[in-house]
Amino acid sequence: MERKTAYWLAAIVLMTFISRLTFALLVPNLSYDSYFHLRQVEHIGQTGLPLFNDPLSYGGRDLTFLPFFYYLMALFALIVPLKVVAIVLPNIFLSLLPLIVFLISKNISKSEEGALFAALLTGFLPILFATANSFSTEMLLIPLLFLTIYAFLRISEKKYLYMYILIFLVSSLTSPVTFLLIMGFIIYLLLSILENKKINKAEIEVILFSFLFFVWTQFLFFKQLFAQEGLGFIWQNIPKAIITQYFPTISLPQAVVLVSVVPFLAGIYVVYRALFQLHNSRAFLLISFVISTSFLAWFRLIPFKISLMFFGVVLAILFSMFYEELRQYIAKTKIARKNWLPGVMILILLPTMFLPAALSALSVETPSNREITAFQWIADHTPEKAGVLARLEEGHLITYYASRHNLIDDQFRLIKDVNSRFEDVNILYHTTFQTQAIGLLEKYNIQYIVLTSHTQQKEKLETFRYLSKKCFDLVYNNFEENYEGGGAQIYQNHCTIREHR
Amino acid sequence: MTSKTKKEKNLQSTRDRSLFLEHCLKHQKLYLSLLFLMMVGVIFLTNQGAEKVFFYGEESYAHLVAAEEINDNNFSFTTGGSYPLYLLTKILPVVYVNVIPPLLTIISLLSLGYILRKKEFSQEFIFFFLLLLILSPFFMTLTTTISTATIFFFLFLLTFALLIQSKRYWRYLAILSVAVIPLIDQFSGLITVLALLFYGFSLKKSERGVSWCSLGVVLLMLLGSTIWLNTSFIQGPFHEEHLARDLISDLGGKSGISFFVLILGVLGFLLAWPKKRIILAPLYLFLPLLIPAYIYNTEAISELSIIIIFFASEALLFLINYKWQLPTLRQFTFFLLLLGIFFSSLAFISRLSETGLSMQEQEVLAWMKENIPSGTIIASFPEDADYVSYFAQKTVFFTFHDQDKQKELDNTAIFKATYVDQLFPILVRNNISYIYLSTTAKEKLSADQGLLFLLKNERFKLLHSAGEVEIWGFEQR
Repeated sequence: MERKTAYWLAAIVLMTFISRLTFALLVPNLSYDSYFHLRQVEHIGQTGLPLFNDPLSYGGRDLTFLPFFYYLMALFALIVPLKVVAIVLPNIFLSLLPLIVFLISKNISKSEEGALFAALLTGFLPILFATANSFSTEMLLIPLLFLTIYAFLRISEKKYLYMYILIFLVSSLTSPVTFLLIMGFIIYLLLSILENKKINKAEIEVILFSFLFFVWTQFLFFKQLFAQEGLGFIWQNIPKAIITQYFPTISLPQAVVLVSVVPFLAGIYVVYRALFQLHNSRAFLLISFVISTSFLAWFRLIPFKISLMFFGVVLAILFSMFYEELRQYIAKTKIARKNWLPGVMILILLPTMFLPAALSALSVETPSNREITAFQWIADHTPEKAGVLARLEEGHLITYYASRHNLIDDQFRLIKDVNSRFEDVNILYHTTFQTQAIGLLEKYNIQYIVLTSHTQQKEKLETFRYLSKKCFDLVYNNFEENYEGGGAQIYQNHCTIREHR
Repeated sequence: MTSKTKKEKNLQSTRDRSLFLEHCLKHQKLYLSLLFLMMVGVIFLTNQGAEKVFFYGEESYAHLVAAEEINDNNFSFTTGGSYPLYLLTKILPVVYVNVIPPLLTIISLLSLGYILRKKEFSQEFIFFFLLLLILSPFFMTLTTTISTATIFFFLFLLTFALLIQSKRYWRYLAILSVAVIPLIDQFSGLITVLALLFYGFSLKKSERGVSWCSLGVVLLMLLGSTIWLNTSFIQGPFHEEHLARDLISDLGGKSGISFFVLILGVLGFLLAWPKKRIILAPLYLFLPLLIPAYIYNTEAISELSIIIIFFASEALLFLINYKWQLPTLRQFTFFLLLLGIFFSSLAFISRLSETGLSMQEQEVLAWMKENIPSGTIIASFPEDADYVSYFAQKTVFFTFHDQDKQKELDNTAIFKATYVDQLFPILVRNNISYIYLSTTAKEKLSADQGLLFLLKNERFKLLHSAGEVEIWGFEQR
């Protein structure tokens, strides 16, 4: 690698990290789902074990998940405070992704300039930038998957074989989404057979090993889940009413903006060229990942957000091939006197990438400081066995900050009555009948109801319609008068159905 | 110097590996017998430890009930499918019928080993095939359940073990065993017909006599049992069917095969295809019959499983003899495969201990036997129906193997009813006087709506309960 390229690459990585961190600090607090992961890391820090049996979530339940991410974070949390780890470390992981993308792109396109552009595109990919405030397994998984791909590309070298085995092992213990890689490999084999390409024996061996290893680890950790839910485990037991949120039908314009317009168009061109004209086997591998991602997302087998992240990065890598081809083409024309291509490319990318990236980072939904204070108040002022009602996404705030049991959160697996719970939560927010509400609160052993400004916006609700002074006391209120700064009200229920009758 | 040492080490490890395999192959009878005994022993001991009834699965009790019905009513044409079991229960008391499934599977295993050796399959193949077979959940089910599959495999393999004998009188004995197969069901008869056809054509013209004779007998018996005994195409189902779950035991199925064996099976299928080995031709030809049959009724899993295991053994053998470019991965891959298969078998065994009747269920069923008058109809979850029939010796409204669509709809409507206006007419129309609720049924029903809520009505009376298990009486009026 040329020194100039190394400087540029370092600059891209640094720039990505600084901007991610800036946005992470501009937006208050972490995204809603992060608090589940924080709690797991904290538990490992305290006991050395993940919380596979959670007494607070859904009033007590079993959890199934892969633990590597939590152990890694817990290790760092021994040295640095968890709050710092939660903000800084995921952003470091994703800031290193441009470096991995550079290595893959250089290996495929043999162009350092194109690889640098691929790295830049990855660093500021809108869909990835929207995760600046997220503390979740995907933050580690995405770089790991691409590092695995890089090791696979160089599998003939022994050190990369060991590197592949190690990283694949870690990925398989980080998230089941690693299946995306396996699926890509299978499609790669099929494409190669269709194109009469001679497949490297070592590659077949690696693919077979990866497949078996992945299946084995998943069976090891999700044995109970598979036995209980059968094939339904794929859809994570998500309530029917919100399944479209997790697996939305693909809206092409929205998807194009999130993966950025330029790499998307370039990607289509490269896929066409590689498949029908060049028959480039390196590109085949990446195209296989594009196909596998699209296939899995289309059939709702992996969450849409993750598929889009993966898709976006693969497109960025393919962009390096497009850039190199374009550079070579321009070199043959009369307008090739000066190296103006990089400048023009940056000018094109600026409005189509950096702006959507910044906007998506700022539009992430996170709880406000006032809302979090309300949940912290619960921890200090309510009985330990009390149950708290909040919206689905706020479920982890109850277990993390309030340390009380919730009615629902987004960890749906192994919950038998998830659909009826979801419906009951909806009823609790919208019913006008006090008996119905009290009956449901009693059913789930809930004594406190939290009404945050987030809930007010989402449910289009000013207050609960069944509140009466006889049964419900307002025990906490930190709403700002104009409601703009966020805040929350907490009500305590005194009635039971029998008393009420 | 270093490279030499490395080479020597590699050679040594290869030698060690082949020595280990050779040792296993040399003593395969011992190791496979020990493995079989261990697996069966663990299953039975776990069952005994949990004080559960001896047989696993609803199917055992469905057959026992059917055999008892034949005993009671002399001979009924409608229960012809359970005729072999009826014959057994005539000879042996029911308590001793316990030993029949393991005994039949041992004879089946011995016959299978004998056939494979006679047909000149390699020692390695026989070892892996029997190893995968013994470890597979479907085989464990055969060993612990009185099932049509257990009887079918015993008779089928015995027939072919006799047919390949060199002495003629042994071969003629095969006609006796093969004649019973069509009494099980039409599907078993059909498979036997196809197998005999393949076998007959594989022999010299002068040696085909007994095969054609057996084929003729099977065809006649098949026709006769279909017309006079009213045998079903495939017996069952005896449980709620799920295509994926019934095939892959890891997904919570009550039989089937491990996911790893399925992967190996697919691999073996693809690898064996280009070789066009004549011995594998029947297996490829059986698949177009077995796959639709499995989709039609998942009780056909046993026959399908044995073919998948056959291909899986082919794949395992291929992987062992294949020259790996990355020897490190070879060791990892084999280790993973073995771990995966063992892990899957152990998971299945541990799940088996969670199934079957609990003490409370046994207690309530015993109470029902003593206190509920005969001739009354009891509604229950279909998965509990055969237990109720056998242990309480009462008529149940609907079982999975009834194959009566209207009854199935009514039974579903009973347990899904949300209003008495929906529930009462069904109960009255079908003359149902009792509702049995097992622990599983209570778990599946919602506590504050649906049937459990409707049971608070004055026309229902809780007659007896133990823990979560309940029997409710319904006043017909």
